[in-house]
Amino acid sequence: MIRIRDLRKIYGKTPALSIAQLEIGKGEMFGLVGNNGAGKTTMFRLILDLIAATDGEVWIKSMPVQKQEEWKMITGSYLDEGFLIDYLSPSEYLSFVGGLHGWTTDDYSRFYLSLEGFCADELLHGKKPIRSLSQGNKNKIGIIAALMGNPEIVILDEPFAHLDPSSQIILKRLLKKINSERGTTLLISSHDLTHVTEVCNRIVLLEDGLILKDLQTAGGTLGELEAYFARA
Amino acid sequence: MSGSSLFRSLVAQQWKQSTRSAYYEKGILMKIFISLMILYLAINLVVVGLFMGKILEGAFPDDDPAWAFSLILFYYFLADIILRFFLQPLPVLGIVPYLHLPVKRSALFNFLLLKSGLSLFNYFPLLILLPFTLRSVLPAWGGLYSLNWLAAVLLLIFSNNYLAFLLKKIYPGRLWIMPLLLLAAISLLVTDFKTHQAISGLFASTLTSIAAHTYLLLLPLIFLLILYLASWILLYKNRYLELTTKKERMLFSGNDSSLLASFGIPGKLALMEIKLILRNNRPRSFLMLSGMFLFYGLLIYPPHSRSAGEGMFLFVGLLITGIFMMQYGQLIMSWESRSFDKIVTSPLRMQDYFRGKFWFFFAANGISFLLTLPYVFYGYHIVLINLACFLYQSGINSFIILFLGTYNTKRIDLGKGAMFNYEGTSFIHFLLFLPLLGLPYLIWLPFSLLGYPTLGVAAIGLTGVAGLLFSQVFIRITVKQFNSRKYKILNGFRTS
Repeated sequence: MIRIRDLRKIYGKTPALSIAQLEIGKGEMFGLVGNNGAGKTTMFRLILDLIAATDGEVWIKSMPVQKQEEWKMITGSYLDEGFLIDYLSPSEYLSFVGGLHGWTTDDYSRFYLSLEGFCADELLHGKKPIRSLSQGNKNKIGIIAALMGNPEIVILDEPFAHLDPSSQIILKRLLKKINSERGTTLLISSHDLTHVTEVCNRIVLLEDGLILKDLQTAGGTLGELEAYFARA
Repeated sequence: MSGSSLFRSLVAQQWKQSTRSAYYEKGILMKIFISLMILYLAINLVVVGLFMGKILEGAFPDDDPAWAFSLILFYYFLADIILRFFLQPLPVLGIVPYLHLPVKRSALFNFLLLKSGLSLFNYFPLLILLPFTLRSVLPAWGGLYSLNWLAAVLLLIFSNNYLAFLLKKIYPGRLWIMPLLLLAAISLLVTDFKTHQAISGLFASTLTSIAAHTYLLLLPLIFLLILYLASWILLYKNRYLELTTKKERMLFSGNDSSLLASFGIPGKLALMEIKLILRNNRPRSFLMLSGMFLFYGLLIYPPHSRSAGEGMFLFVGLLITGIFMMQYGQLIMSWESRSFDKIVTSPLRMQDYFRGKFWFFFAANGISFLLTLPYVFYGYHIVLINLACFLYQSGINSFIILFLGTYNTKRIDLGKGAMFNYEGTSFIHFLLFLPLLGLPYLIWLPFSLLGYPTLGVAAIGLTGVAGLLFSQVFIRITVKQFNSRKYKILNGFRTS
């Protein structure tokens, strides 16, 4: 689904990311962990063609992201507030994104139903602009927008940050459901090791822009990761 | 922390805030340009001040210049309070980060109020006042009188500062206060004129009496202190309100299944653009400014303004049909800088994005053109000229602006005020008006020189139509240009 080859990003002289080879298969639940500055967001930005790679290439479904833009039609993403249009109300923003997918009224109601209460109706239909929402609610709107239009790939940077406990639990369930029902490929980064080991079946650990570990999640994975971070 | 050292660090932080703001990060050319503009304005005011005595002698031959000037000051103060009410920003921001620190609240309030005294509004009248006092008051009345007079005027200027503050604080966001204030000012003026300047005359006599008797300076001083105290108390009373986020107005929050949305992707993008403009200060002020430009024709078109010929009409036509596009459009994409990551990762081809922008420009120019139709009153040829200008603006200039828009890499904070805000603007943006308005003249001039100015206008219109016919090609060129600059733009929008 996603293929990375000889990908490098260098800021000035400091290498931010260097990945010789990485393949993420269809339907994989891919988790990315690492301390601040390890290169998680850089990697996501490179996959989404938001920053120029120093060298190397990324393919989404055999489409080179730097040269084509068809991959945008099957990829949903939310990295940070830069993905929100903050002078719109949540419903205006979501209907703009849905509109780009050519959605009809039916599509919206079916979609909102499928969210299983991740987002309260008051928030969805509130009259406040996104810029005056709390951080947690901003994140929710961004995540919801990323899930619109049945994307084949969903990329989320720190989706659990700022969410209240109930929403975290619902989100985990939601992501697993989307993955099992539609075979959606998920890419998630998180500082919360419990969440990420719970959701993802593959976890990659970055340190200083390099892949340090590439694990299939098993019983001992959480312990292994905790041991690594306790050492660092 | 002792009072004075607290004050010093507050001032230092304020200084850092302003020197680290976007203004100082601008290019050197832009700085020089703005400085020159300010210098030009300042010189103008000084010259007016120097010749004010002469002007007043002409207008009020029987009266003393100090008295006559005081009379004028009455109207100035009236206008000043209204201008301040609309334009002067409230100095509210910036105390929230201090409220939880071990800092006396009263010190913060004093700082806030004194800071508002530093507003430029309070000092630019000095550019007129000082030369006038030196040249016209000092020789006639002597030093003490001049000093008293100047002090009284300054005290009133600062009083106005806090009066505006009070008005704004008491009625924050109450829209009805604006017409009420205007109405009060107008009725005051009308009464004044009806009574042969009884009110303004009283004001002028008071001011000159204060100048003659130093102890009377207590009057304006007490007035100022009362206003300062009232402002202080108001701040104290509202000390918790400062913390709550103010309710935002959401203009144009109609439903999205409106007519526009049925125009496919360009329609949806245009809808967003309209919301962006209406809900954010700076683009909204561009819109209002463009609205005012529509009246520019009234100065030029009437038959009694003889200097105006076809060439001038062309200039007006280009300006009023395209001023919004030329101003707002120059910062195209920068407006969306805060959410540009979303735009380039959305299921939206850049081809469609730029097509949407193009149609938005077309519609904006078209609406401007329609609004100029009443000028048919001054002759149908004016409408034809404006039509040609509209076609040219939409067919040629729109693409120049879109193409060059890819050189915008500065992030814009939409929430900030519009007055004197040059964030995201560079010297190039001012320079760009030359080709935008000049190129059509190059088309028109040969025809005009040969004696066929009307054919020249037709040529401009036809060039525009040709541009519209080739819009697909131009859009493709713009997309290519965008792709070559994509990472620079994204990086600039994200960080700068």
